[in-house]
Amino acid sequence: MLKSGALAVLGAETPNVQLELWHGFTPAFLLSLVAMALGFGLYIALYHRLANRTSTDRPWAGRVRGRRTFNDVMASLELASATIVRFFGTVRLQPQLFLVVTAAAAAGAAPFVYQAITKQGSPLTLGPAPLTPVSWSFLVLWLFGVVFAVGAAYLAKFHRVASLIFTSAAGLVVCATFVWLSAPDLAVTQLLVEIVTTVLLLLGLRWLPRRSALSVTDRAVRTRANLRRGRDLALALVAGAGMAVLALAAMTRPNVSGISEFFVTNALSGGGGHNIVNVILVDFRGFDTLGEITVLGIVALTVFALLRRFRPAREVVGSTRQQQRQDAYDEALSGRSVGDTATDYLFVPRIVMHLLFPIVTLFALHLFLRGHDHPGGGFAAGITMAIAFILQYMARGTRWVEERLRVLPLRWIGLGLLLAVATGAGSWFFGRPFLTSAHETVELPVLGSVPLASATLFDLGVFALVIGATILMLIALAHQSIRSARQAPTAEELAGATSDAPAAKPGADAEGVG
Amino acid sequence: MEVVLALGIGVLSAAGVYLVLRPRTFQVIIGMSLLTYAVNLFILSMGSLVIGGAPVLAEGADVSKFADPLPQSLVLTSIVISFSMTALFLVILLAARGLTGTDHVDGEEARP
Repeated sequence: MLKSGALAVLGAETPNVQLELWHGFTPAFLLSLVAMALGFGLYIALYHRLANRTSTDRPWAGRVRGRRTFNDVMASLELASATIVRFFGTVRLQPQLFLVVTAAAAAGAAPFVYQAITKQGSPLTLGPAPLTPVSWSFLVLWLFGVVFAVGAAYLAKFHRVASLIFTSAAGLVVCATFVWLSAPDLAVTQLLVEIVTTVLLLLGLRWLPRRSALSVTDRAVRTRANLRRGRDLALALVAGAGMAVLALAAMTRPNVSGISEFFVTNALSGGGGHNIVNVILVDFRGFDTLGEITVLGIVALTVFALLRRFRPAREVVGSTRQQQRQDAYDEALSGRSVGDTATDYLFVPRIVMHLLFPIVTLFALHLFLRGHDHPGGGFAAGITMAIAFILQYMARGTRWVEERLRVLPLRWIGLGLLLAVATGAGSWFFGRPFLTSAHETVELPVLGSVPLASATLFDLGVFALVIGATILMLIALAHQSIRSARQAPTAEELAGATSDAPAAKPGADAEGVG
Repeated sequence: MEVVLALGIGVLSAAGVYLVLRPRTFQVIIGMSLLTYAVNLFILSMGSLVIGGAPVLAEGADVSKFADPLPQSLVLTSIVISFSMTALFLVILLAARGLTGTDHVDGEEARP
């Protein structure tokens, strides 16, 4: 009877199996007997303890309480970090940073001073390599770069927006330099990161206090402040000069061929990609990239956690001055309702940005797919995708997007990290170390022969995590403008104001970034 | 070219260091960004300057004229990490501003 059933399932390949009731004293039978005896023995030995236990007791783990262990671990961790902070932290950041920078400069200068004293080794001179002839446009580019850097430093105190614009412009100069010096991957990434950073900083600017020039009359205080500025400026000039001289000395020496040659010769045969930089990132140095995206994920979660408890300072709660001016203008004119100005002035850009969403998405996919062979890759693609969402926030305001969009960035982060780790762990099944990658040229039905690499899966993890992390930060920051608008009436009630605060209109958030 | 780039790195790092030592949080963030640019260019310059030799294998590409890909991938990692650092600093700035009511790096206005 058993045989007919097995035949129906397994077909002709059914092995010839003999079933008997008694096989004799085989080892398997003896082991079963031992297991049963042990079970009975345990039952008899523990019968009283088990019968008397209350329903909340756990057998064996009686004394160990999961929650208490967790709390103890957390408490000791907090205690340890508090101790570390007490020993190594300072209350004043400026002297600490001054010491750090001075120590770094001194450590950098030490070997050359030592050489100068003992007259051993080669002193810090220009190397023998010939200089590349200077291109005038490169010179002009860097003249602008210098102006932007100095301008950003000069304006950072009283003119934050201008300073931010100058910093971004300096970033663009850096980006152009990357293009010039044969680093297209860096240029793409720098440009995209620049966009996101600028938007994030703009979102944050709204919560900073207004700063106007303090008219300090006390001469002693002013002298001391000027002395401190002079001291910092001197240190900054020393550090800058040191960096410049070191960079020049290194660039005029012939390039030492270290491990780079390995990467160049093995990128195609070992990593299956034409873009050597990308192959290094997702294949040869994949562990590094895994750590990098983990850092990004942790930062995004920290941003999210910190901003959940964010309480803005009292004086920046409510509409900004620009919003109040716009609202007053709207109220003064008949036929306009409050919030119209904020809605109207972005009318055409809004439609353009709205339509750009699928195009930017397509571009992100393009960057992702070409990454292994051309400049691009998972990180650049993820940031591009995040920019697509940023554009929607800019065009429509936080409220509009949040009503219509469910991105679930936490899941993107988790999935991305999981995919990257799983791709790495996958190589274990083939008996290879963690993160070994494989590549193959596969014949696909429609596309023809397509080169596939397991590193692409890893890159997909990077892509998903970067989208999630960037959007989580963006949402957390952008959401604050709504929260504060909700808080505004309460704050005014507390202050005893009787005027009914205008409820924030959807479009008003568009100005929230200013 | 080398001299121009070295001077550029020098100015960027000088501006960055000066800002990092300032008392206002926003100045410190801008300073960190400028310092990042300087350091990234510095790392890239360690592979010596190559023009027109992007390390992308293609038909007829001369491998001996390639720019060193290793500093580039290091800088790529560095760009990402500095991006996360900026975001983290920004939020710490905002949280400190909300908690202490000031944007001084020490959480309170300097005593005169």
